[in-house]
Amino acid sequence: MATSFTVQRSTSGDITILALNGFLDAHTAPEFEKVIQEEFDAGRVRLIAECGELTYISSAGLGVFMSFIEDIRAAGGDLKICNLTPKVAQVFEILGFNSIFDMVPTVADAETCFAGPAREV
Amino acid sequence: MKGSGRWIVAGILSLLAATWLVWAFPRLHPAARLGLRYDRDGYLDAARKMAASHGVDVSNWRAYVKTENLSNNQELHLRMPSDKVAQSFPDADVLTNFLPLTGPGVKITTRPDGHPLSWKMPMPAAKGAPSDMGAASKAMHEMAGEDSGGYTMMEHDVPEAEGLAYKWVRKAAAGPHVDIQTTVKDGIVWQAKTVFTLPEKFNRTSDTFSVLRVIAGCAWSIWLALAIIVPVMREGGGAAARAMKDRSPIVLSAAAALAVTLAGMIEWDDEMISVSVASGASIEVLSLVLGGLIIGLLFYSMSAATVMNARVHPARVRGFRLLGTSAFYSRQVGAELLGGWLFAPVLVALPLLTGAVFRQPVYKGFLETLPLSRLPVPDALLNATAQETVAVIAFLGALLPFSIRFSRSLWMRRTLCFFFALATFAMLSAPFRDSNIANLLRAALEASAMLWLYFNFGMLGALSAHCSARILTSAGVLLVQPATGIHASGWGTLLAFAGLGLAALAAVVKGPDAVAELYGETGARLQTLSRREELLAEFNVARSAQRQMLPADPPVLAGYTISASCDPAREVGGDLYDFLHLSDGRWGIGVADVSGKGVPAALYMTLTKGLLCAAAQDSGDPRQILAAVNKHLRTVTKKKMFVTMALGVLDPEARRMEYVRAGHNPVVWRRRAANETRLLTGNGIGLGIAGPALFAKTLATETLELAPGDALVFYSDGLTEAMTVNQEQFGEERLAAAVERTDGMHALDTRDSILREVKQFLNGVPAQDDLTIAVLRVDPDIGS
Repeated sequence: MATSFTVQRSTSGDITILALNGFLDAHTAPEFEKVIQEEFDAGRVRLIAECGELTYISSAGLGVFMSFIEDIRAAGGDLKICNLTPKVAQVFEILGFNSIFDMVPTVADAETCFAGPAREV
Repeated sequence: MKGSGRWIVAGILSLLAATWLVWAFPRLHPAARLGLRYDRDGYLDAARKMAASHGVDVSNWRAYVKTENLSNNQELHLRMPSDKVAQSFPDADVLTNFLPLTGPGVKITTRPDGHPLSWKMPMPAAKGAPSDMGAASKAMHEMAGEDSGGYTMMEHDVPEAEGLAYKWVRKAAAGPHVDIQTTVKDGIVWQAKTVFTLPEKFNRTSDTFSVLRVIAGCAWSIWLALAIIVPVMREGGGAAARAMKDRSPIVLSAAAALAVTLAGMIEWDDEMISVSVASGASIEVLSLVLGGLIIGLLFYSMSAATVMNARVHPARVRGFRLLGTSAFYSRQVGAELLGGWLFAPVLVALPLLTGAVFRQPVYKGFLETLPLSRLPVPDALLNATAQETVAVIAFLGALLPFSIRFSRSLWMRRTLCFFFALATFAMLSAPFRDSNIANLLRAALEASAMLWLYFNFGMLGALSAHCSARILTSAGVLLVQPATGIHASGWGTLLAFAGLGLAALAAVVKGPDAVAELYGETGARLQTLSRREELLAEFNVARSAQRQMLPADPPVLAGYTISASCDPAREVGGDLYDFLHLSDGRWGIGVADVSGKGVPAALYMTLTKGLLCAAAQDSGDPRQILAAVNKHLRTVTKKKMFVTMALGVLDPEARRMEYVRAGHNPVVWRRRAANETRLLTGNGIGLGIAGPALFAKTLATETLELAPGDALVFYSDGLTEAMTVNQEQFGEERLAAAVERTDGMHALDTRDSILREVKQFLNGVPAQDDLTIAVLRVDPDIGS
């Protein structure tokens, strides 16, 4: 089964929007990881993952979200998640990610969230 | 009983039994009454001389000698000690057959002391002198010996073509009588026999007690039906194919067929000779045909056994399955064989001990007839298996798993197991004539011994004990005969018995470990392999090591059935299930899934298993257990690693479960009475993700009041996310529907049924993720 995954970067002020597309699994997770690492290294720590086209996420994909969140928050930023398809949203919820991440319907909602209080891990 | 306990029990019992047997075997075993005064050569010499005296030269003919224990006569001796006629009945007889290359042979029977009892040679063709009283009289005097005076002459008719017949009769007032009949043709006594007629009450065609025979008959029929119908019904045509993959049935049946064929070639028996003469086929060909038939029967029963048993008690058939692999010489196989071998004296002693306690003579040992073989030691070894062995395999392989699988409650399971065990062993032999209680007790003792062996040394251990006991008995039978010529064979057989034990011991001490063989594809030897192959072999070791961390058998809880399995998608996996016996008597059932795949996931899986066990020792509260695991995982794991887990703590008595879910797929709760299926989606974050405070704050506990017939299905995402080529997932809805269709089933069948539906859904696509499932079913028929 061939899996494909792409990340498109765009910016809105100091916020980076990462539009995820396709399958985020053990094979494609390193690509996503690389993108976040680059943003982090560039000091851009206000990130939004736009998941409207994300069709599948495996535990390895979820691991990428987890692995950066502490460092990002320590640096004063956050990673917001928005526009999840119901199936992917269910995976996030089962894992309890809704207690850790802000998961909102749209990019605009996510941008608004950055104004709110910081969350703990 | 694990570890050294089973060896101590087997060792002590064996030592006691062996010591007692030295005294008891020559006194109590029926073979001691055979009283053989000569060895094979001695009886053959006497028979050749007798043939020569009748003018037949048998020196180049093939010969067969066997002895037969005449237990009816032995009983008569005991019952009528002062009756002279009764006392003249032989305890045993020795049958010698001579067979020319073509045509009928010569058959001679004698008493164990060599005194002639019957004689039969081919009927002379020519029509000879009308009468030869002299020759007949001589032959009859020879057979009657000192008792000649006690006989009276009688009329006796035979068809004219056979010659003229003479008959003497000797009768006691109380009933037993002896006839001597001769038939003379052409001046030759071609047929002479001594016929011993027992009083009606002693003439038992079978010494098996009738009620036991009915039970045994039922058990036998049930077994046949089960062994043939059940695997076919349940597995379709796949039973044989699956068993072929195991290879043990085919290897063992081939070995048994070879043994039968070899035994047939070494020693043709009476029936083989008569069939051979009637059909014109050679005995060697008949041996092969018989071997072929046995291979079929054994193969079928062992296929059924492997397939049925491997699903119920995988750990109990481990050694048996290894026999069909290149790891047949390994510690695991050696240990099971040695355990059984060590126990053999106990099995030999059991009937004799029962007889001693009930003061009953033992009329039936393992061997009713004893061939005086050309090659006695190989013959004794080849006769280690018999039709009884098939019955033992049928019991352990089919009836036992059947009892476990198809009975709903623990009580019923135990009752069924023991009933089948009792019926099987009652069927095999009923050695006592006057005490049904003693027969039943013997069967119960043997059944218990076999069950103990099965649960401690596996199916192979039980079979090893059964076969070793037969070899040991053969040695004993040879050693208790008065003829010193036979003793050498007895010692030889005993030596061979010891050799088998030493071979098993060598495998235990020096043999390789077969763990890789159990679950991997190769039993590769590391030093001769390339780096890649070496890694593959190591993977196999890792895979089996990981497999062994999962519980071998689910716990047995009264009122519940439990079943679980884990199939990693790769060599090693990150899934885990476990059953935890908590200090307050409750049971934890957990399924966990480590994020990612392959070796990293596998390493964290073992870590999680360890953390879970440790945490479960400190607390019986599922919240506290998970909090502890979370705390440690968060400290030691990499940031992107996490573990999800569903954990239920069951109070079996109260039928209550406390349930927590740390980011894991929600457990399916099927409530049969309410016809309701729920996904238990309580809050909780995966382990290793959040700090202790947030984790504890989020984790919700749910208390489930279970009702009879309810099922809880724990699983990993590999099951719900199983994907077809069209990237369609199995999903929770299909899972819930699949669970609903298992209402009323045993946990094992529930599990099988769900996995089958997933497989059908995938339609040939291999699973991408580990498939783990654990099912707890409340027995439907217990009171609510």
